[in-house]
Amino acid sequence: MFFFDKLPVALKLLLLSLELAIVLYAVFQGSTTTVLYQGF
Amino acid sequence: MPEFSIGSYIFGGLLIISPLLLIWKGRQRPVIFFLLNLFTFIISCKSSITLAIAVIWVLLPYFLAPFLNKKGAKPLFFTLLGLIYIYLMNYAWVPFIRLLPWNPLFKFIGLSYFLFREIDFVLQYEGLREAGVRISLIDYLNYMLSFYTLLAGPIIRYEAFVEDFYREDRAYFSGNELLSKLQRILWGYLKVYVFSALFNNGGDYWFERISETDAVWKAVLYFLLFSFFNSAFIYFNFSGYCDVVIGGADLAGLSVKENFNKPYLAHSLTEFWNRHHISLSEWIRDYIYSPVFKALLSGPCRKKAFLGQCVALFATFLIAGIWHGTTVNYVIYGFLQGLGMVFSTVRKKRLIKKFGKKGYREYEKRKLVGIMENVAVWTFISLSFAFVGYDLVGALGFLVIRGV
Repeated sequence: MFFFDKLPVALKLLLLSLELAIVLYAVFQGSTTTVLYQGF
Repeated sequence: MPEFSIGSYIFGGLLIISPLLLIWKGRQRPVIFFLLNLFTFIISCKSSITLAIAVIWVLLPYFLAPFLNKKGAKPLFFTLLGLIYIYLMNYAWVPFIRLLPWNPLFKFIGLSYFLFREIDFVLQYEGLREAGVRISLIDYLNYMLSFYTLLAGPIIRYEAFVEDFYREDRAYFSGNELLSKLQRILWGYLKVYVFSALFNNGGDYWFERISETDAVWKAVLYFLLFSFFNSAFIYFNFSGYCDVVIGGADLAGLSVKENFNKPYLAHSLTEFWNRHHISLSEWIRDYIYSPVFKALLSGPCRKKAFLGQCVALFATFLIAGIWHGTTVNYVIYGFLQGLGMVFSTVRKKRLIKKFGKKGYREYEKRKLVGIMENVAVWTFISLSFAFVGYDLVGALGFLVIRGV
C-alpha cells in the first residue's frame, strides 16, 4: 500500500500491531465468515 | 482431518515456515516446496477415497499431454475432463449424475481450480516443449498443488509459474519490505474476518427478511439491501483472500498474479471483468472466448464479426457462471453476466458510431457520465451477484407460493 510505505517504521509497527489485534479479536469473538470458496 | 483454509493454524504456520525453507537456492528447493504442497494436499482431501481420485485427476493431464497432439484427441480429452468435473462437483441437474455414488468431499477436487491449470498445461504443452520450458513431474506437481493458490487461485499459468520459481535474480528483502509484505497479509485477513464478516451478516439478515415479508415493495427493498451487502461481502472476502495469498507467496519469494484492481471503479461491465478476478477473466478469454469466437468466424458468423463477438461473449460468461456452482442460481447468474457483457459491447459500438472514436473518448471523460456509468455497473453487478452463494431462486419461489 502506497500510504503504508511512506510511514516511519514506528508507525508501521503500530499499525501492524493494531491490525493483528483487530483480526485476532474478530477471530476469537467468533467471526463466522465462511471464506467464499468454501461456501459454494 | 484438520481443516485447511487461510484461517487455519496450518496455513498460518506455513506462511511463516515456507519463506524460511524456500530461501534455499539449491536443487532441494523444488523438493521442499513439493513436500509442503503434498502435506496440504493430503490434508485437504480428508479421506483416502478422495485422495485416490484426486491423485488420478491431478496426474492424468501430465501423463496424457504428450499423446494429445493427434487429431481429435484433445476434444475427446476435454470432454472426458468435463464429464469428470461435472461428476466431482455433483451437478444434480445433469441426468446421469444422480445415478452415480458420490461423496461431498469430492467437491474439493472440483473446486480447487485444478481444472483450469490442467487445461492450461495440456493446451500449452507443445509450445512449452518447443520453447524449452522445464517440464518435469515435480515442477508440474508444484504448479498444480501450490498450497498458496490451492483453494481458490489466483489462476497461475504453467510457464509463468516455472519461470518465477527458478528465477535467478531473487533478492533478499529489507526490513521495510518485510513490513510491507506483512501489511498486505494482515490487511487481507482484516478484509476477510472483519469487513467481509460484517457484510456477510448484513447480507444474511436482509436475505432472511425477503422470504418473511408480506408486501412486494418490502421484498424489493430487502432484495436491494441484500444485493449490496452481498456484493460487498464477495469483494472483501475474495480480494482479502487474494491479499493473504499474494502477500504470503511474496514473503517466500514467489510472485502470484494480482487478481483485483479496484473493480467497483469500473465504468463498464467489460472494464469490471478486467479488474475483478483478473486471472479468471484472462483464462476464460484465452480458453473459452477466443476459441468460440474463432469457430463462429469460420462458421455461422463468417461475415458477421460483431454478431460473432456478442455470441462468443454471451456463451463465455454463461459457461463461467455455470462453472461457479451447481444450482440453477448460477445458470441465471451466468445468463445475466452474458447479457450484461453483450449490452456493454453493443452500447460502446453505438456510442462510437454516434460520436466517432475521438468523440467517444471525450464523452467517457465527462464527470456526470462517469458517475452514472459507475453507479450502473455497481448496481448491475450487485443484482446479478445476488445469485452467488444464496438460493435466491428458492427464496423468490417461496414468496410466489405464499402469494405475496
